[in-house]
Amino acid sequence: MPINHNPSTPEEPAGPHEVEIERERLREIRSRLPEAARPLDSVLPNLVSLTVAESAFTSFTYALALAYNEVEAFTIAEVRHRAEETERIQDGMTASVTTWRDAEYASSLTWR
Amino acid sequence: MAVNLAEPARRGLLVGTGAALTLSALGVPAGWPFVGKMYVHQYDPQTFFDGAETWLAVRDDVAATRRNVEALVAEVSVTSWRSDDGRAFQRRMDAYLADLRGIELRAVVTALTLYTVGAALAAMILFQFLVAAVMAAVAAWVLTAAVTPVSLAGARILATRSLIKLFEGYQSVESLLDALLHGCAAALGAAVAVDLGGEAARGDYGGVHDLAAATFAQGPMLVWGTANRVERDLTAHGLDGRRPGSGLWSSARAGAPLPPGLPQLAGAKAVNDIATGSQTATGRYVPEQAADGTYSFPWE
Repeated sequence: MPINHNPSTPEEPAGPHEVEIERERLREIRSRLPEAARPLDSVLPNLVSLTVAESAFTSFTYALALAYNEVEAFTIAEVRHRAEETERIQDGMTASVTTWRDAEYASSLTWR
Repeated sequence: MAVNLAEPARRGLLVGTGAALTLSALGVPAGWPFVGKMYVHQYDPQTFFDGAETWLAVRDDVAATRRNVEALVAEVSVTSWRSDDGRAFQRRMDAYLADLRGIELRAVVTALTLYTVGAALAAMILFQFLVAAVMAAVAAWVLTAAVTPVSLAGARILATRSLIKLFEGYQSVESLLDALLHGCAAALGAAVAVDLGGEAARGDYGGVHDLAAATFAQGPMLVWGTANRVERDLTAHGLDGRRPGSGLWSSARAGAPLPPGLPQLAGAKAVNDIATGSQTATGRYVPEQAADGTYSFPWE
């Protein structure tokens, strides 16, 4: 019997109707997340196109050149990670929706 | 602001060099120390104003993402989603949004710093331009005084004295600029440190790893930038025509003249640097930045 023992399986809902709503909502969030996170995509090309780092070393004091380069590199790394995380969150939600559907499917058929 | 300030910076150096040449031909070498300094202070503030605008745009993009995701997440309220799954989702989204907020804050600090730096460099260029104009005036005055040997001797003394005073003023402005730039460096450093500290306090060391990785990835730029800077400093010392008495390149024979030919070579190189807008030797080896923001190492 395909009972799912995954700890991330949701607790029993109050009724079938609520499950329906939750799943709808989750599915909607999952489908709208890429759109919501889209502005993040233009950040990386924007930062890469900057030439401040190149002129920083002869323009600034050395300390400021180092600090600026650090900030730029750190921000680029962070932004790249957030973009990856958006995808991981989506994958996680896909798994949740599937688990949910499986659980419901299992309970509606052979639950004794 | 679309004023091209690199041009006045170049003209300032040219006028200053011309004045220094005239003055030393007339027996007043006090104009030379300005030339090396003016060569060092060749900036293009526009780069920094553009950079500041880009950072503000970055902040806008990140803020838009954060608001969108916030609105989306708000639809899954904790009360209606009472499962562990729901709470885990909420925690994860909270961390995600906090990180975005961190990036926003850092982008604003960086933009403000770049604006400040750009304005300070623009002010330095204008100041330098005025100094060059004063030097030209002094040179013209000594030139007119050179009609008789007696008046020339008096003019030399007066010109030397006023140039020394002017150089003191120049140095004090320079140290002000230096202090301001160090303050800006501290602000940028703090923008990263505050973020890391906050994350580490929450038990999230991802940022620390990011910083270490980012620093390593930045290697080629650091190496090139340092070489570029060393080249510029050496050129400036060459222009001075004397062994430097302080700083990284100080020697026991500080103040002794450099071997003949070296200052002339430095001068020719400086002319090329100014004309092409980059350092002659290292300028063309700027490391290529990939689309994802990384630099490739030479062995890759």
